[in-house]
Amino acid sequence: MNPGAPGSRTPAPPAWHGTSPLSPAQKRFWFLDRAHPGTALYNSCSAIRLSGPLDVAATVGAVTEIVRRHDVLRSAFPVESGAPRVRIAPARPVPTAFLDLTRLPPPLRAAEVRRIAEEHARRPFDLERGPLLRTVLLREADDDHTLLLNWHHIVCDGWSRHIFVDELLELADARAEGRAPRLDPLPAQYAELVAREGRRRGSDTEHEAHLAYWRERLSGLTDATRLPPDRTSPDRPTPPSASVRHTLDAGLPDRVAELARAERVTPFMVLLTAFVVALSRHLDRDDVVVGTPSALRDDPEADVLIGPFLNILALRTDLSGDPTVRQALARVRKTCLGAYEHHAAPFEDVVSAIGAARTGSRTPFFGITFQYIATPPVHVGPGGLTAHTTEVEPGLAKFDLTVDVLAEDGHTDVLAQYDSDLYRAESVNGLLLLWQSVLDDMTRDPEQPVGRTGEIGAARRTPLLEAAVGAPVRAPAEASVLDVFEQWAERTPDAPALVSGATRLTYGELDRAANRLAHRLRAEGLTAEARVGIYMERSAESVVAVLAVWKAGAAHVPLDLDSPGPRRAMIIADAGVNVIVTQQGLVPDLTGDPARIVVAHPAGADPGTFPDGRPERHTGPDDLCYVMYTSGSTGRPKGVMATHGSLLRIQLAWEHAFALRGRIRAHLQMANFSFDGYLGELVRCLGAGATLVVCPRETLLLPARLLRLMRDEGVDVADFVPTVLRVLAGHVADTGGDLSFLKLLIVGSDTFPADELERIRRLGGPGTDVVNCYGLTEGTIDSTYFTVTARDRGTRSVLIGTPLPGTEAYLLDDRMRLVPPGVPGTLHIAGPTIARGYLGAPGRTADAFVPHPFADRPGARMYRTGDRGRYRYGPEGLRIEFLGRRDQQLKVRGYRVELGEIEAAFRRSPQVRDAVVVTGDTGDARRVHAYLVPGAGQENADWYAVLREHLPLYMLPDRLVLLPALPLTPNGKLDRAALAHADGREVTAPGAGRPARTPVEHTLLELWRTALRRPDIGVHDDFFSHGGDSLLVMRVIAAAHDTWGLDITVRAFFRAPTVATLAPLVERLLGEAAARGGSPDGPAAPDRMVPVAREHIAYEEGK
Amino acid sequence: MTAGPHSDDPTVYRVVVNHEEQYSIWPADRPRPNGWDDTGHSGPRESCLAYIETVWTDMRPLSLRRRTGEEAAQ
Repeated sequence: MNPGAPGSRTPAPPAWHGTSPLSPAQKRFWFLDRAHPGTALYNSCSAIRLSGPLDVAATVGAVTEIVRRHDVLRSAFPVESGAPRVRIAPARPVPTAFLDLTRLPPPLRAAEVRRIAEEHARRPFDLERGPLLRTVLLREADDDHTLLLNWHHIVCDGWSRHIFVDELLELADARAEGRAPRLDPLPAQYAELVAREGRRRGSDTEHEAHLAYWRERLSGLTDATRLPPDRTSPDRPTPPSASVRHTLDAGLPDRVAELARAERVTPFMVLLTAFVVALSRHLDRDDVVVGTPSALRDDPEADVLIGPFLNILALRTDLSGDPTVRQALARVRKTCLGAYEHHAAPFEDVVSAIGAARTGSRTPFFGITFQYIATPPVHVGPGGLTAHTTEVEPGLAKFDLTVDVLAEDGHTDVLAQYDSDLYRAESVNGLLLLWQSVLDDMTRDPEQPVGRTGEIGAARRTPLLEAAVGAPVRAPAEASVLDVFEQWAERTPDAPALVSGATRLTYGELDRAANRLAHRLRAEGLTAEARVGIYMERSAESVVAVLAVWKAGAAHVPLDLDSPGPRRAMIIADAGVNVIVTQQGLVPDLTGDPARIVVAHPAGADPGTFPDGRPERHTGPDDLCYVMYTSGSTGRPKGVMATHGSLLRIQLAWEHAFALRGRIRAHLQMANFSFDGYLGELVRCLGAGATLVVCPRETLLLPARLLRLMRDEGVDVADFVPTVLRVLAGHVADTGGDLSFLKLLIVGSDTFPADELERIRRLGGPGTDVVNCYGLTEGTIDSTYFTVTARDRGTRSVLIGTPLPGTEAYLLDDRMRLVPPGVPGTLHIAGPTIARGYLGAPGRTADAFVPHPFADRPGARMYRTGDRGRYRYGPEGLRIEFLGRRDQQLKVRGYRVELGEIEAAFRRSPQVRDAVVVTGDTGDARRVHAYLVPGAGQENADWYAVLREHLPLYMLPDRLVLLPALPLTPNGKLDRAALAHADGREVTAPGAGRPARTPVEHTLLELWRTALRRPDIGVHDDFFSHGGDSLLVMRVIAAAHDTWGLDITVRAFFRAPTVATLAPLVERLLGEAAARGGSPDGPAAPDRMVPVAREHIAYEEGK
Repeated sequence: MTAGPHSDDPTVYRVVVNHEEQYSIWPADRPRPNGWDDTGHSGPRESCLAYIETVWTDMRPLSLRRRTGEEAAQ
């Protein structure tokens, strides 16, 4: 072995005196390292398994020689006035540790190699000092070694690894054989290429053309393509990663290659097309961006150089219009070819050119990367030594999700690594399965629309069909809820049935009153299916009237007291109502109506004239029970026909779900009479033999009075609309009370996030079930339910859970196929609670009540709700997340905005008690107006600052009005129409260019203006929307350090990207420094900080 | 809010009917669900719904109509 000879044909590297600039890729990694200090996130670690005869000294020497040949491997990145520079260290022997594992028992050696490799991969590098490459050589047997190569991404890329292994094998063999290595001298060093490229970029118009391409290509992008997270991220600087690996079905890779040839695309483009299709399903949108790494080795001299030539390309594909597979492939090909042609523009330049908004330190445009690696992992050296290279992951997530398709010997694998703070393995697994299914279908028929691909396989179908069906319920012996009520009247005639103000009725009294009124109604000559209008206040009489109409064999039609006369007349005509039951005081409202008026007596009807025995009836489950009018989008209300069977089955469903019988004593009655929630309260209560306690309308929003009523009457069940619950919960929390007296607290809402429900749960006691129920009148009140538990803390989505016992809920795509978990679909409800249809509207009924393709019962129907939902994985299996309606989405300032999302962000803020966001209430559909009810004592908060904590800029409302309470309709629902005229205080948005107010703001603004070269910016301007990029961040941080001796972290800067938001942090740091005694003193070392201060900063950085 | 998933729905539907003589529509290219017979009418959504308006004149399920008829006859 001759240590002097190898590589002697390579000329001595040029002596780099002083320092040189970084390449764009190096700047990116340097910045990323700063954003995640002290971590191994951007380590690149390989285990190179060397099989065959190996000379340890020659191998170790070969590593030294490689590092000598490639200057870049001797780089360090010292900082000079806030900006990094490259300094090349002189060549010296590289210390490679050698560990002999042959003393371990053979079965333990492989595990030990893995353990050491992982430990090695996790060791961070110090970019300022270097070295940035570390090697360890492990011996498992005489002919079996592993060289662990750990280097930082700032000095290498994927291709560098191949060069390293090639050179290693050649140099080691040459040394062992004592011959001169057959390696050509390097044509140039990395830094020379960087300088050459930099001059080119600076001088010619090509770079501008590249940027222009990307600007055009990525314009109008609202937000990064990210898979919706399964959990709330703790937002750690370096989230842990986990991985899922699948082997593609045998034969699929060949068919992919075939399709690629036939369509004149690359296999990568076929794989990517399928991936984009799968992603677009999960995201429920057609415009999808994924990142892909690209080697910037256009210069032929770069071919043999180690160094970070990596760029990352944002591949944006539009799948709108349901293209065929062939058309989608053509679109992806166009995307890819365009990206390749313009790949020389460094990603960071593209980001700056577009002024992309960032969230924290996340990559703009995409959170997912996809690549195809077809380079063989095996190299064979000249002396028979074989190297097989595998990646060792440091276990940290660089992106939300990276998907690598790996073509290996005889099989193709897909390896997905994901941020395990954000995702569950099942979700990533589901995406990979859908991708493979789409891919498979694509290769079978390129003429079909992409929307038809990816049919769910039998194995995934079974659990979905099971999840769609609620717990089994025995077939009821009764025909109607009336039968159940009458059984209670016989069994417990003296039990209290109803409390309304001063009126108290027992089960026996209620039954007899209803009988008398039923006889009175029969005298009107009602026929089968007759509809009787009920025009009444919520009261004891209204309960008597409903039961009486049913007892008379007819169906009731509630008529809303607050509706304008013409609407009421329309409903009366539409429903064919000939008889209306009302109260004495309301008779004048009905003057001129052609229907006959029956005035109910407090005891039902005159006891002298009408008997109190039950009239004979033959009510069957298919008989009409009520017709309830719901608002139609066309302005014409729709009459939903519910049957006795459907009402009985929902009563049974609640009974099974909540074990009401024997458990509950008194049920609050709050719902408006013309709303089906009223019947829900009625049948839940009377079906369980409990007491219905009517709450006067005026009490709903007076929480102290509402609480007193509940306590006085022993109420233990209540079903709230969100606004009433929020007011009550706010009051209870403010007064230190609780709701533990409730056994069942229901909120009927598709807008209540699980974490808010969980906070409500904490106001209850151990015996309080807190439940969100979801349903529509067409499915008889409720269809799904979600009981919140402590484990839902921090779950921001609106969960509506699982189907109620005896009911069914399916999530289907537009082709009526089951969607897999994670993919949004339209909610369809089915089972015995489905209504008969819309009265007098067969076309409308046929359109909404559709054939049930999954039913055992032939000819069954489903109701298509028009609501969107998706399955999420919960602690106990699948549950449905409510996603709103498609048509609630709107475009504001060119951005797609879901109003519900803005509302949810407001509600997350502890300063906000309630909020509603609307558009167009003052005529302009593009203006977003927010109405907030502040929490106690929060009336004078800096609202725009509060909002900026939760919302991206484009989501900030144009108008912000503080209200003491939200206006409500008689149903207790939000009165949107009244908002614009509500008596509130308008908060004005500060002008973006407002001048600095404090000395710190003033100084910071100066620093920003200098860094951004924008004298016009103000304290509310976003750094990144005004030309700021990651390196300029560092410049400002350095300048702030020079000015105040303070260290602002990169992450803190990202979280507070305006002067106005950053200034308080600076002030706090200054205050803390002063509190420690003396002036701030250079970099604040965390261990010298008092614990309180450290906590403070940790909080500031996002915990 | 439009009636269907898309207002410009290009799907061809067929009018189907079940044993209760309840009508509905179903995409013509999907297998017909169990218990639903083809009425022979197919076309765009609006055409199918208009057809149903003319044929589905009594919206009570068939079994209920029969039972009511028997009771009336007694």
